[in-house]
Amino acid sequence: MKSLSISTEKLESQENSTLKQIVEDALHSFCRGTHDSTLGCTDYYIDYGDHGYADYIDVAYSDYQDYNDNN
Amino acid sequence: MRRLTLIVKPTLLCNCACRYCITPQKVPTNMMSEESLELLCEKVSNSKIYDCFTFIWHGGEPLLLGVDFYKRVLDIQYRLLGRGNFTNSFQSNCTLIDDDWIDFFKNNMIKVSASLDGDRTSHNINRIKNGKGTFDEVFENIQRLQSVDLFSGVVVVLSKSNVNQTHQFLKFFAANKIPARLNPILPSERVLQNDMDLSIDAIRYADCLIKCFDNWVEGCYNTPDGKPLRIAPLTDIVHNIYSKGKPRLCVFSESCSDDFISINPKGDLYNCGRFCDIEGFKIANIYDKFNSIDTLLEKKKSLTQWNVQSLDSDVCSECEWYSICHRGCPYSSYIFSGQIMERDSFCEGYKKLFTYIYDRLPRDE
Repeated sequence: MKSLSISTEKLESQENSTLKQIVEDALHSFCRGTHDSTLGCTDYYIDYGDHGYADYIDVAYSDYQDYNDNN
Repeated sequence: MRRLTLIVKPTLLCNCACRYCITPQKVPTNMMSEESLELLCEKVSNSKIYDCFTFIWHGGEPLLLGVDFYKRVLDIQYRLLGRGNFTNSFQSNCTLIDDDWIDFFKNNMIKVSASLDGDRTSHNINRIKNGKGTFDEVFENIQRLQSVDLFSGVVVVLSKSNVNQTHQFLKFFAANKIPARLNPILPSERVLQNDMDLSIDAIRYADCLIKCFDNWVEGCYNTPDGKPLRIAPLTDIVHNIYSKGKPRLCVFSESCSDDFISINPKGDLYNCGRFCDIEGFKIANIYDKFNSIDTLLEKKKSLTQWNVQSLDSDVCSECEWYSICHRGCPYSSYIFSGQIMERDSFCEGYKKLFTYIYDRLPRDE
């Protein structure tokens, strides 16, 4: 199985700042819950391929709850 | 919390006439009834497996049903699904958005994704309304959605028409903060009837994405605030490589049938929006006698999920990239070969792309 691990320290030392941000975004943006020590996502949503990015999911449920509570 | 994504097609009609549209030219003119939606919400609310629900309003053009229809939909959702247990978003051609729609989206925190095939030059080749390209009105409405933070990105259909302009339009997207999903064009009745050959093969798709990746990591697609533009499937592939077999995009997931269901205007249920109205893939009708969506799970799996036991004798079992793509999209296999058990038709391209990206990502020693 092809898979990579990267530690926080290793990622911090990445000289290409764009690549560093790309990896950070890929690791963090779609995760809900926690990350393990190598930044691997331990829980995640599955996104639908014929739709724009579902980053609204990251906040939507809690925001919806707030919105609903206030309306 | 287990999420079910519902891809709802309330109509197959559209106000545009995109040259390659996957929806057949002659479609039923009926719109989804509120009774169907009520039944849908009732049967998903009875689930013991899922407890939160994402509705993606798809089509056809979902905005054709008008704001009032969706206000009534929200009433049904609040009543049957409960507060805080659902979200809505739209996949739209974004040509019908007016102040009423903006108010509605804003008041209900609904984000919208647009169908946009690039900058003006690329988009207007195939995305047509009343004989004219729709870029200007779509882009204006994207900006309106952005101004109220309700824009989630665009789906780009990559075809022969725009594949060579990818660098140019991704720079445009970056400058305007437009996250993009680059999907390869898939065969459609309309394309075949019009004798158009807009397809790009697996290697051309991969080569295009490899060039995008190189430019992306070099910062060519950084937004004005210095952040790299989010580009699918590149972001997803980077995620997959680090995620130890836990892909997050449906086409690379191991069991997409567990997470999605789609419904057409007649109330017919399918595993996914891509399989909607394809003979042999209907799971049930929402008016059939069943109490909960849970009872459909086994049939869902049998229709579009390959048989796990067959993996041992399958070519994918030997593939080093299996944990990244999990055989790819069943629809992409079916539409080219007529078989869901075949490899994704973009397999060779994915292997080339995965190898290229894998070799260039940072890693622990």
